[in-house]
Amino acid sequence: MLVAIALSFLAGLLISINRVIVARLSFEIGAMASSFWNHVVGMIFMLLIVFIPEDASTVLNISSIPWYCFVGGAMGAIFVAINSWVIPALGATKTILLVIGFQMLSSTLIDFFFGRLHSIGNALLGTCFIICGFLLGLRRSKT
Amino acid sequence: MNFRSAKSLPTLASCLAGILLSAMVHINGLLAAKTNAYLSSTIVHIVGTLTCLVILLAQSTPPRKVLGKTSPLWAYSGGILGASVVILCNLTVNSPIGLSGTVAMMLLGQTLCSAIADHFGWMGIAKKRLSVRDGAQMALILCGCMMLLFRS
Repeated sequence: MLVAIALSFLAGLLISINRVIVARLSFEIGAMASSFWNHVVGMIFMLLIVFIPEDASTVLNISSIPWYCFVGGAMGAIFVAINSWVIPALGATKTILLVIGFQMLSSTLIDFFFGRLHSIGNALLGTCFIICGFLLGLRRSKT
Repeated sequence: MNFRSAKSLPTLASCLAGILLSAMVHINGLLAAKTNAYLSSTIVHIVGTLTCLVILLAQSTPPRKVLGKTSPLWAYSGGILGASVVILCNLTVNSPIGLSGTVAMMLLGQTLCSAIADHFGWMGIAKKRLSVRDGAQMALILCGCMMLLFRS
């Protein structure tokens, strides 16, 4: 469990650096094209990792995977499209708060729905603390 | 919510975008359970590339605008980190910390990373010293994470 906590924390650090790099590229070519390169480079990197060391076909049996498992890949791209439409209308601050708030809330509810939570009360309270933390950060950036 | 206001649709859309992100991590985790964390990240990026292409075509973006000219080579390297993040999420979402623990710890990591970047003025960001408020913010998010992680 501690390993999982450390790994997800590391994922948070990496995604911050990733966002800065992707934003640098989007200055020139726009958010959607920048996201395209993000996916292409990620795809090439993953293909090198997965297919060079071992034969992935031993693990991969596409026909046994339900269709909805493939939808996740499209969601990241759709998110970028929604974001680049919403940010000019609402401003970055409000958009980020809404996204983070609903992301945190819905992930807790999904865990609850699939029976991965022992107490929904504790989890929702934790969610509130995290959202309040972000609210505090936003008030700072305004002043 | 007043649906006649010009801002109600973007507000609704950004709420949906947040839900979309958790659903994405959850579904990628399901795919990882059917294959493995690495193969799931590979498939996710293949599907993502195709989706980006469809959106770019729908917006009729000219190819020369997609290629870019002036950006340094490192600006194209973000995907390596992105692919690693999907692998890490695939591993942790199927662990005891689940989806909410994964999302919470990622948010903590992001907050800490951007606070440190602000403090030292990394990556061309204007230097902004850490304040008591930053400490309070981090403490609140950390408390929330603990409540989510040690919930049994």
